[in-house]
Parts: sequence; C-alpha cells; structure tokens
Amino acid sequence: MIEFQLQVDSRITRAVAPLIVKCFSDCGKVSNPSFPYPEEQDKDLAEAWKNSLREEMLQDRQSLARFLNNPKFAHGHVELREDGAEFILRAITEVRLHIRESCLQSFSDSELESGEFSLPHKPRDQQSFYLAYLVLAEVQEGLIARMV
Amino acid sequence: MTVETITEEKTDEEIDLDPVWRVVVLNDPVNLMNYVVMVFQKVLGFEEARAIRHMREVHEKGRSIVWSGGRERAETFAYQLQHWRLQTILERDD
Repeated sequence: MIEFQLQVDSRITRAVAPLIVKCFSDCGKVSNPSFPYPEEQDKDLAEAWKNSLREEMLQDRQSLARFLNNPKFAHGHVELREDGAEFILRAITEVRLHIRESCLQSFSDSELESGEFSLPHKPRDQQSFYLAYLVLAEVQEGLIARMV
Repeated sequence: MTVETITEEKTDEEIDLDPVWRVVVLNDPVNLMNYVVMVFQKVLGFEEARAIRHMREVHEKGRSIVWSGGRERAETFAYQLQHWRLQTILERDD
C-alpha cells in the first residue's frame, strides 16, 4: 500500500477535488486522442493502434476513478495499492494534459514550466484549474518518489 | 556449401532492405521531469543517468532520439511511450 499526505493546504485540496473530478470526466469524453501512428496512410493499422491505446487508457481511467472516489483524497490523503500506481500516474498525466489544453489558455508553456507568474493576475476561473493542475502534479511527485 | 552461401546472401539482402526507424520523444510543458525519467527507465530500460540525459535533451532541444533499429521494436517502444502519454513519433532513417 502507498500512503502519504499531500504537502498542500487541505483547504485547497478540498476546493479543487470536485474540479479535478470534473476535468477527469471531461477528458474521458474526448473520444479521439491524437496518437500518431507512423504511417497514417495505413488506415487499418492506424485505427488498430488508436483503439488498442484507447482500451489501455480506459483501464488507467478506471483506476483513477476509484482513487478519486476515495473520500480521503479531498483531505489531501493519498492511499492506493502499489500495483495500481502506474495506472493512476498515466491517467493523471492525461487529466493534466487536458487541463493544460482546455483550461489554462492564458498560461504560456514557460510560465507553466517555471512557475514564474502572478497567479492573481490570471483569469479567476483559470486560477482554480491551475491549482487542480498543481495538486495532480503533487500526487504524481509523491507516487514517483515512492515507486522508485 | 552452396545452400549456405545462398542463405547468407539472402540474409544480407534483407538487412540492406530493412530501414532503420528512430523513436523520437518530443517536449511538452506538462510532464514532470522525474516522470519522464521514470518512463524512460521503465519502457526503454535506461540506467538513471542515461534517462536523465535524454530527458534533458527533450527539455532543452525539444526532442530526443531514444532508440533506433528495426521497425517492430521501434513500434513497440513508441506504443508504450504513447501509453505513458509522452509525445512520441517514429521517423524512418533514410
């Protein structure tokens, strides 16, 4: 079992937990993620490649759904079985990619990488998404540190 | 003797015709550096120092060739890296 407490104020975690669940739900509705198959002209192989990845992503998402449904998460407590950590890591990456693409338009890539910007000067709705993005990164950091 | 020679020539011909494919990971602003290092270690079997070197190359140059060789293995690696949500493409080395 992997267990740890996020180093984030629990008020922030409680506030963004519902937003994370919403982002997770929204990104699951994207039915056609762009996974480039090397030779797009081979339509059958390209479709088989995408379908196979979609199936694996579904498994990742189911693990993350169980994780997010744990009421302890809203209080900043991470608790999961070790054999589920990889699924959750991948699914969180998908949610973070979705947040970046759909909800953080006012942030430049360099701002996101460096963290050097003024959060109060960003649009109010995007501030919350940024916090959700950070909390998910914190979960990933904690998991990776305990998996290595 | 003759049979062996023919077989050997045919194998050489096949090797000549089989192009080299490069597995290329592209930079993205989302994935954490230690996440990318971990994925390189898990998928490609890199030692930590090598994984860090490629991660830095992705970060600083925008891309890194993490593996090159036959198409089948290249596809397997590209598929696994995409499963980990790393932006990965295959390039044919002409």
